[in-house]
Amino acid sequence: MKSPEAIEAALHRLAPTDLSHRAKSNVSAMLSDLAAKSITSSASRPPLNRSSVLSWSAAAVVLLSTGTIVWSKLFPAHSPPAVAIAPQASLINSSKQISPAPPMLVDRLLVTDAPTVEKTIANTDGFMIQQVKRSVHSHERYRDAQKGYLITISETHHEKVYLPQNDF
Amino acid sequence: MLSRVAFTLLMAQSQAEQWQRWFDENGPRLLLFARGWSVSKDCAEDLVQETMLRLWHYQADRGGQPPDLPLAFSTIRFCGLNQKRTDSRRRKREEAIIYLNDFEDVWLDPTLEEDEEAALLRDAVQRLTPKLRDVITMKIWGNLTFQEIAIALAIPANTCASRYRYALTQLAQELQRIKEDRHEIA
Repeated sequence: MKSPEAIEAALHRLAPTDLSHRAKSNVSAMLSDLAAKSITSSASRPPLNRSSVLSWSAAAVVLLSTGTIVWSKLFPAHSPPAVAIAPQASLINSSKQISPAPPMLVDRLLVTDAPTVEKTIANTDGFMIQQVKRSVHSHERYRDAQKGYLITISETHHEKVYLPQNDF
Repeated sequence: MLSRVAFTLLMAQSQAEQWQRWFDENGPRLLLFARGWSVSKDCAEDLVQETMLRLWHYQADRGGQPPDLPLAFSTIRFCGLNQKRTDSRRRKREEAIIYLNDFEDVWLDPTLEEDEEAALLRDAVQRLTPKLRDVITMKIWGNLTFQEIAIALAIPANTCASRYRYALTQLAQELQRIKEDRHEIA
């Protein structure tokens, strides 16, 4: 009788049969379809130009959460733009890179223009709320390690936020 | 500069290419494992396709990278169990079908066989019990460790190792028995 090691070696010489052409085509088509659907789902996200109207309850949340943002009561008509660099850029950059991999985020820059007050609203509780408009410019850079591309994506979106009026 | 849509397209294409490469490399291994959960090659291929679909959705929430092989084996097993448990009507229909012996329908590629013994071994693997065959498939053709097999099958690693040794011994005995039978006939 053969030893288990000999059987093991003999098994290694056998190879699994390949899938049929039909099955391979089906799976390839399915993968392409799933990738296309992932594009559709990401493209159907809400538009960046947000002129949405916040409900009063949401406005109350904004009122509380923005308490720490001091600029809401002191901002002038034309203040210099605020610049912020996303902190996760360095973290992502230093993470382990798997090859082949999709483009990796190198850095992200967010520039917020000076906000302007569009109008003041009084809610039913007597609170005075300011409707503030501001523009946010984002610049993201991605590096495709496989092809050596540096991809830059720039986009601007406008936001309308509701902030409590603290001074009169 | 690229627009957001063009970039999304690039990312999706890159992801699909990664999955396709992964499938080209591991498809035959998945098919071999799926044969243990199916009555025919066509059913096994359907099971592999269903597994790929499930894996895509599962991995979508985890960065969208192709899965590792133990997870794929585990998903085939899950899909196979699910099919057997839930689709009782189809099972009854399948039981009613007489599958003709298709000599071209083999689990392991005969083109690489060097001699008659390889053919006997191939048939002996197909006749192993599912528990032993799963471990052999994952160890020999999936190149998994006993620890990885244990995770995929949800059993202790020691059980995997003992099943593997038992399967090898059983294959050796089976080959010996067939040879002795032939010798007696001759």
